[in-house]
Amino acid sequence: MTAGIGGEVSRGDALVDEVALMERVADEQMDAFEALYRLYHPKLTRFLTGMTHRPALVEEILDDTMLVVWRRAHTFDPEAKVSTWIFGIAYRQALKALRQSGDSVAAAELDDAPMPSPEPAPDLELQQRDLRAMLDGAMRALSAEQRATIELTYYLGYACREIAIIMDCPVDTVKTRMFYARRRLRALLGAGREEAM
Amino acid sequence: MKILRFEGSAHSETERLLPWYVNRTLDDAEQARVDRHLAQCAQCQREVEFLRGVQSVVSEPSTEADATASFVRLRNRLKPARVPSSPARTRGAWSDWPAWLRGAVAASCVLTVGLFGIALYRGDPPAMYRTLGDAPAAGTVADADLRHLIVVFDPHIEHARMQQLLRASQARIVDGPNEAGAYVLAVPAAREASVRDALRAAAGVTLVESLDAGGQRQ
Repeated sequence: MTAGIGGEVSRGDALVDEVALMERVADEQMDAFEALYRLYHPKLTRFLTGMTHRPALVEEILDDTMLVVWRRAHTFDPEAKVSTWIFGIAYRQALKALRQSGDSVAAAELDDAPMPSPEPAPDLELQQRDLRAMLDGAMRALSAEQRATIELTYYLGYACREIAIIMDCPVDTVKTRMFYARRRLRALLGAGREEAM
Repeated sequence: MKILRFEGSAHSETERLLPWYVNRTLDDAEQARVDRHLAQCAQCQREVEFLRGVQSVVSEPSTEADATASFVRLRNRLKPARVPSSPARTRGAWSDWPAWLRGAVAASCVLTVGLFGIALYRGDPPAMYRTLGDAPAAGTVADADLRHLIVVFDPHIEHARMQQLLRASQARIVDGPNEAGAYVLAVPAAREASVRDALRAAAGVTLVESLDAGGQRQ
């Protein structure tokens, strides 16, 4: 399943007009809501798992997200992109759930030290399997906001300005979160490589 | 978190675009700028390789779980919880609100009607104090062009975000917050319904209700 232009998503050979689907959901058509739910269930599950790293919370957050989609479908702007609207809701619901669980969602205040030099580049010397294991561990050290930025960029393939819409923040804030996330990942992966040697 | 302003050298400006260069979502001008810079910057070339490694791991597809059971469970929660747009649904949504919220709104309405009624009965002069449940103050109560909404914001909402919502609504705070964090907003009568709906749809807003006794409650 891949995102497309104009609110269309390809699923198998079928093109799904998401905006039309939303209009039917706003009209309380349960079959349309089920279709939308099935369309987004895998992506939301993956995004929420990656963002929260709290598997026990994911199902509840996903349910709350789709509940809001159902209740607010009539407020959806058909000029907007359905996926950014839904992921924006999911992002806010995840932050809310994490805060209620006592988790910190933002990164601790960091200094303004420059990005560590990419030399030597630890990733170049890692096999894909090792990189996966180390990256998974390193991602846990990031904040929920930083993990969300990475998931939205590399799992869901959003542009920076679309992530700003989802997170309801300026584009520079997205770039800042990504900047600190990259710096942290580099430091952790570098340390992991040295430990492995 | 301190927000970094990505201005300055061509290197630092371009370097911040690399995550989205790698996922191919830059616009044409940005893409061309990064391509030009990459041709002459070994550090950014290595950063691109690093980010491609991150992308290759993060973009791996995950196992799709069967959504049927979870959809059935969610469906059972749906209809009673939908935001009302008809009187029948109003009752359903009202009954789903937390007890404290129902109490707060009900108390506001009772107080509004009660105070208004007492004032009419006794012919009292306008009160010198107001509560969130009061009818609009003297000077505005006669202004038929204004309506009042009671609004509860999310406790975590940022002040700037609240100001943005108020400006967009052309609304002004005339009272509050009370202990429950509720404000009374004055809005042009013609925009009451649209402002109410927009606020209900906005992130960071927990509750919006029409406060005027004669107002349209939905």
